[in-house]
Amino acid sequence: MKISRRDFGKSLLSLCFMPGVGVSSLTTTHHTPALSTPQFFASASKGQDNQYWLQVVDSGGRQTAKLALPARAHQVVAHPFRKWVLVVARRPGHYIKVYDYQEGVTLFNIQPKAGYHFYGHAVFSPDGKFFVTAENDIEKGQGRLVVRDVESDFIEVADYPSYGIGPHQLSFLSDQKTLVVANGGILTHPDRGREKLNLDTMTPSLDYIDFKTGALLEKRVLDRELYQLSIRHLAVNKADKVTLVMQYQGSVMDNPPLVGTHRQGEAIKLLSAPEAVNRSMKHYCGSVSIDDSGHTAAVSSPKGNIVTIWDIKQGQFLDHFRCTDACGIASAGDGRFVISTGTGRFYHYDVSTRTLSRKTLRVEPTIIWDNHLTSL
Amino acid sequence: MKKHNLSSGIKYRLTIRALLMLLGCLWFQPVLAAPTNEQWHAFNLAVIDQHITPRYQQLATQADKLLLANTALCQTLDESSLDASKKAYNLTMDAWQGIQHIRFGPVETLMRIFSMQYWPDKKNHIGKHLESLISSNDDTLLSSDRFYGLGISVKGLPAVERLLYADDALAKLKADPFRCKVNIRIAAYVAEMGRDIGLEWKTAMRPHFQQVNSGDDYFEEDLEASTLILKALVEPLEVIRDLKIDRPLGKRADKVKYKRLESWRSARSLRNIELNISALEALYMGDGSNKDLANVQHLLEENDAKRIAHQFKALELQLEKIPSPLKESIKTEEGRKALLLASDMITRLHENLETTLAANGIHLGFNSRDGD
Repeated sequence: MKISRRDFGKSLLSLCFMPGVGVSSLTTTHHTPALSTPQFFASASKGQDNQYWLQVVDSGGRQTAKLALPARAHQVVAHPFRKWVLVVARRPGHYIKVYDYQEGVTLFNIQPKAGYHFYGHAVFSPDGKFFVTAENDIEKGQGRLVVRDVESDFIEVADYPSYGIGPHQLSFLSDQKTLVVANGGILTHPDRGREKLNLDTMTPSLDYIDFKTGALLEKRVLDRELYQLSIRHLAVNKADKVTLVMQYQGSVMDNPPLVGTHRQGEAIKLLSAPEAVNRSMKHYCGSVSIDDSGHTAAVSSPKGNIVTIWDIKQGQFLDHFRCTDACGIASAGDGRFVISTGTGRFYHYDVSTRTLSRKTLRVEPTIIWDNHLTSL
Repeated sequence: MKKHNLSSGIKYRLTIRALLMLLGCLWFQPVLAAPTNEQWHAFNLAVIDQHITPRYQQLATQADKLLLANTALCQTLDESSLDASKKAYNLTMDAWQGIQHIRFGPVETLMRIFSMQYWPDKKNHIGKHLESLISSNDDTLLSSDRFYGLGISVKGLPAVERLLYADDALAKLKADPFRCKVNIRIAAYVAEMGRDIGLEWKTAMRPHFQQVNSGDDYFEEDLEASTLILKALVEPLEVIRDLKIDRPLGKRADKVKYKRLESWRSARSLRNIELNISALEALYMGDGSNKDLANVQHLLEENDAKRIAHQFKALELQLEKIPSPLKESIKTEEGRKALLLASDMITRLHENLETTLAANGIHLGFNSRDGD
């Protein structure tokens, strides 16, 4: 399905019949009448003033907090129960801001130790006591997972290998002790900026690591001919099924699968969209999110200006729609996703009706959204 | 005295006020208003009608002539027919190089962009698949259905180039009638693609640009559609620099690889670059008339616009200084220096275009261009 202006109209029309929603909602949606539970979303962004910002908005697109950042950021990580968000600098990054978005206060500034840099992604342990970052040991070119103790002012308590080069997104499984990490496989060095140094030999992998000991529990690599398919982002559902999305570094003529699912102990199952759609993803997935049912994943492909929707239970492509420069995606509950774009827009997508509706943003200054959006 | 003082005080204040106002006028220089939706809309349609469509028409026309020439070549296998085919191939390639920067729309579907020109061919796919097709000697492979199913590398202009510019091309064509048939079939397919792309721009793509925000489902607003066109102005500069200049140049003089040049067999590598830059300049400058809307510069602040126009001109002059064929001059110190300078000039032009567009409130993309 494509986004249709008619569908957009329909979704707006439905608001008219909701109690308490005036006609003005036809043009701008300042309220969030369709939501049963109010929700907030956080993302890195860039302002019209060229300043990088953390922005926290509600689901209707109203700004609730903002924080000026020293440099471009990547993922924003929410503490499981405190009103904290941690903003991770984009690779090769050197800061993490711990920000209380309710009080509007920066609580801590975390830096990598000498010889390391951040990769832009991190995760809290489900109990909120530990914070794990994907980092690079620059000289060794080795991916590291650094564990910090939240209760002790984020002091480092462990430094594990990620068992690959270029660790990117990571998550905990439901046992609260297994970490799964996407090792993108691409070697970079801060002296060479973001230049990719090993495209001919890269070996991306999906690795499961014991959070208590740092031991490797399981390593999965792709078939040899897909060695240039960099595994970058992932999301895990409640049943511990991992959805991984990739970025292809090979020939522009190829049309490789860019989405996959994995369950521990099994092989990675690769999923392709219909040929033309798969090709229009332009070899690039920017982020992935799973809805509250745990069965549906939304994947953004900003280079192709499209978002694809997948049934991860059946392993099937479901839907796609055009959305210019869309990258950030987060679950909004009730079978819905929120999508943020590099053109500064904010949309809701309803899985059951397959409709997309745009929300008017009320954010100062005018901003464009960076790669990842996080539900709080 | 008091009165006088009061009066002079008022005068004084008025003078100060007038001065401040004057300063204010000088300080707040007139700012070019961002183009309106109507301006973007008019720009989009003008570019389609005056830039994109005629260039695809030219491609289809030249490819039709190539088909005729290749057909005649098989009927009369002599040097003059081969020369006629080469000439037709060059005119078709000229047309393709003049529209290669449009990488969106119908040219994207069915992998036409790669079918038209499979390049760079790092693993010699064309050589392998073309020889395999010819040695099959299987006429049924040239029927529509089966030909469409063949690999993209053998269906476009580089394959024709190999057939026409091979060592002993004429002898090989004489020795193998099927080789000749393949040469005709590819030309027919190139012509068909050219026609189809042009037609689909009219019937499918233009309506998307025409009807924005009116029930159409493709673009949400005119600027979104314009951004595709603006990207076609800016992004090809990097491709030209990286693939057509820097890659064959290599990092050091002893790393030069002339076979990485585009169209080196037909010795038109430099001409391709010149045609690419000239096409981008045409999109930027238009025909220079006041009524022409099919250009980017009229949407920019005047001084910014002039700076970019100068850069285009300077780059064209620099390219003119490089001796052709590039496959020879790239190996010389003088040629290398001239190419490196052209490469730098492209970098600066690219940077200036991006910065200027951004300063004029036009962003070509954020996540789509610099993601992680």
